[in-house]
Amino acid sequence: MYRVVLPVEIDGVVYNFGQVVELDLERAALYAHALITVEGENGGDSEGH
Amino acid sequence: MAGTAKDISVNEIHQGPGDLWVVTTPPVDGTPRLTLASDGTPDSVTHGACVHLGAIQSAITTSVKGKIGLIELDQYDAPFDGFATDLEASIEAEMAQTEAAKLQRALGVGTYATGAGYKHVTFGGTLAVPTPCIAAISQKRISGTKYIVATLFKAAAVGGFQVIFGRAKSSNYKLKFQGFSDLARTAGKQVGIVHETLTDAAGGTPCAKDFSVAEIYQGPGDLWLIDPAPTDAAVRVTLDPTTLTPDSTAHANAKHLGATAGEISFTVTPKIGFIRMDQVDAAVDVFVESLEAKIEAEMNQSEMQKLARALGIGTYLGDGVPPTSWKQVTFGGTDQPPAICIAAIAKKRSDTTKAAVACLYKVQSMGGIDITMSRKKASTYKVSFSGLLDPTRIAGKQIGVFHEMI
Repeated sequence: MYRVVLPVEIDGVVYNFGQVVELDLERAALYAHALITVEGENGGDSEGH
Repeated sequence: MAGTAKDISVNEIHQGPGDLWVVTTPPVDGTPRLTLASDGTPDSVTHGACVHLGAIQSAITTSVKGKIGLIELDQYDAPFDGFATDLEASIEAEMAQTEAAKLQRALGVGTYATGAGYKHVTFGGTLAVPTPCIAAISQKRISGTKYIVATLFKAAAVGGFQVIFGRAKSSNYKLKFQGFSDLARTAGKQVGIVHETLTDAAGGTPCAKDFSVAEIYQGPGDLWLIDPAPTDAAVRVTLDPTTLTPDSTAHANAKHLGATAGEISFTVTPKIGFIRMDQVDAAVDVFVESLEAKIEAEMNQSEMQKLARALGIGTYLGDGVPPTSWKQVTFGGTDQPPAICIAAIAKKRSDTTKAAVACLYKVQSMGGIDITMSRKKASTYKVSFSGLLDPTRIAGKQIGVFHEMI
């Protein structure tokens, strides 16, 4: 799970700042500058990619 | 009696370049200083994988300005006290790398996407403003292992970006982040911090810098009318891969606007509003007030259809299609200028088989026209295409796009 820190469009869907999106690792790497990982269900941030 | 020593120290004069970082995990309230790795980059264990913002064209300037209101009395000729009425803090620099993700960072309210062979950033219709932690780190002049660091805990990009397609100089843009209060932090350190290290940086896990001279853009471009315009489903201008001109199938009525006398400038500038409360000296949150996008250039060819297009409220007519005897542009009495789609297309300096494109989906021409009749110089006119928002498109991509082939 990744939290959006900069808006991204993935497969035609726009995800805005603060939204959480589920992506595979390969896809997330393409948007690394705009996402940070969200650990578990508590939503605690860990280091980004 | 004994005198008092002066405090003169040449070593305290700072000079030297720096780097800009988006800090993924900001310093905490109890330890507000950025933790550095041995090479002077943020420690990725403490601060996450911070994002380096690339090469700097000129200086990084951190500015912190308090506004003090003076308290006066009518009986006296000078104020007797002051009170903090406002605090503004910003970090700004001129950036050298023109690349979609970095432009998005500078704009804040742009939407980034990438896929096979492209990267793009669209803009228009975004409400939420990203508020990252921004840090500027500069090595001390007197020591290769000590640093001066300026950090804004929460900041919004307020400068937007500019892309220049031109022969004369490389494209760069002014990046500016404006800080504001993080009320979760202790009063006195809610906006930011400037600190210097006194011991050599050691240990830690460095973050990677993102220097890429291939992303430094220079070179001429061309202006095109794009018809039909890109759509929500296909937001980019479709290019013929050989000529890097608009694809004649996807954009069957595309027209080249002729020679340009100088650079083509593409600017996207947000106006960010700040929410203030009387209890706090600095702003406490931000919002998008407006977004302005423009494509501007100076044009060479004073042909009537081109003049009519540049005038916006001009009416073109020829004696046939194509005209053989005459063509004209008339003006006066037209109330509604047409809206068209305009794109600037340029080959990349570092790979001329690839192009960068700046496109505004719906513009009106604001520049007017000049026709100069002179022995001393050729006639040119400046075009200014101002982007309109198209509410029928999906939010986040309602005004335009910058895209590049990769």
